[in-house]
Amino acid sequence: MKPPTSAPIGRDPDAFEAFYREHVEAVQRFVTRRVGDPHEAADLTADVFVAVIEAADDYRPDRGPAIAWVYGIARNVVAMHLRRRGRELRAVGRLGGRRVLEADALERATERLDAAREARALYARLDGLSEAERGVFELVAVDGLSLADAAAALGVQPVTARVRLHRARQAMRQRIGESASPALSSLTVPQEASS
Amino acid sequence: MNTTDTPQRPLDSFESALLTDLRAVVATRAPADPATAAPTTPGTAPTTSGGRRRPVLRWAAVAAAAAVLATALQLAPGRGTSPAYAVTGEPDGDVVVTVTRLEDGSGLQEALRAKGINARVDYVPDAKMCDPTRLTPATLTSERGLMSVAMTPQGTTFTIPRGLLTTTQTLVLEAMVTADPSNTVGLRATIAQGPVGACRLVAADDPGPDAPGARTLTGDGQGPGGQGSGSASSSGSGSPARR
Repeated sequence: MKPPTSAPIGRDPDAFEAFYREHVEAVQRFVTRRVGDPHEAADLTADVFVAVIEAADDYRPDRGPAIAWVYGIARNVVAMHLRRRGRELRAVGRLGGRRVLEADALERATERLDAAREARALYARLDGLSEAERGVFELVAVDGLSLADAAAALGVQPVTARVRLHRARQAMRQRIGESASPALSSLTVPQEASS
Repeated sequence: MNTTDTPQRPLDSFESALLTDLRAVVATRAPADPATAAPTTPGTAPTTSGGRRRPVLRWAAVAAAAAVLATALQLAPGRGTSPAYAVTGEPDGDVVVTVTRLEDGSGLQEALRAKGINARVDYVPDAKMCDPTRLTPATLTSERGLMSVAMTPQGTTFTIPRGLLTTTQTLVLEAMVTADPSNTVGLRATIAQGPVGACRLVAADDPGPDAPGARTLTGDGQGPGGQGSGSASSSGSGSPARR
């Protein structure tokens, strides 16, 4: 993964396109580990890249790899979307603004969604964690980032991330242990040495 | 589960269409060519050299970890009798601001402060901007959440996450007010670190504090564009917002 430093991706369309092509699959997989609707995932993918463009000037390559930076942004975009969606559902009782996908894109989106079913199940179980613990656990256990990259994505020190991950693992092990779901049990939380 | 090393493959129809739109978004933010640059206006929808409006961001929402968020927005038309804004506190602590018309900036500012957000609201006239040296953009981390803005049937909606601003930071909203019928408005939201000076108006292409014609808005958040209607819009000229 090349960091977006050689050309300003938020200012240069060609530099952005190269960055987009390199990361669009990862972003879509990130999103489909959190939402189960292909059209909603498409909208979120767009939102993530818009946020990437807006934040590009603030990217600091010495704080971690580009994918960690992208995941940090994507995590917040998705979280805010889910919170906003909850409000809209409460307010008007409907979903709207879905993007229409053509057959080829829908087929790929469905494949991603199928592959991410277990990850979505785990993601749906994170509500009981504190926000701080959840952030680290989410990026490490759901998205497969190293502990160091997750720390970079969240803008915290690795030692802080390690403590949070440890606490989150304890809480989630207790939960998963109480669950009879083999799908959840099969998701192995990386050891702390993963950093 | 880590997919970050997924090899590249041809884009599908959605990815291709999205790339086209996003390239246009980036183009609107690119530095203008000094040889051909038109006067710059913060946060407005730029045009090509032929005067044709460039594609305006058409995604439903924008969210960023950046301290400065600038985009072209639309306000709901034909809502002259509705309140100019609404500020609501959500159960989760977020504050949601809906702007229907660019009127009563000072009222919006006070409503935000009543919700615990240290805010400064300035609606400035077309082709003008507040002297950018009046504030220092904050350095943010995504852990504290994202400031976001969305276009809704009710108008333009900002969401300010709980805990986004520290006690030494200020949310600064600046919007352009014009008579253009295109119904587009340029808006910039900045999280400033430390004190924020008064809005000293300067030409959008000449932000120097000593620029000819520079003057200071009178009163917090009460810009000369305060009488703008629901059709307030950008001039459609100039380059993207400076950051």
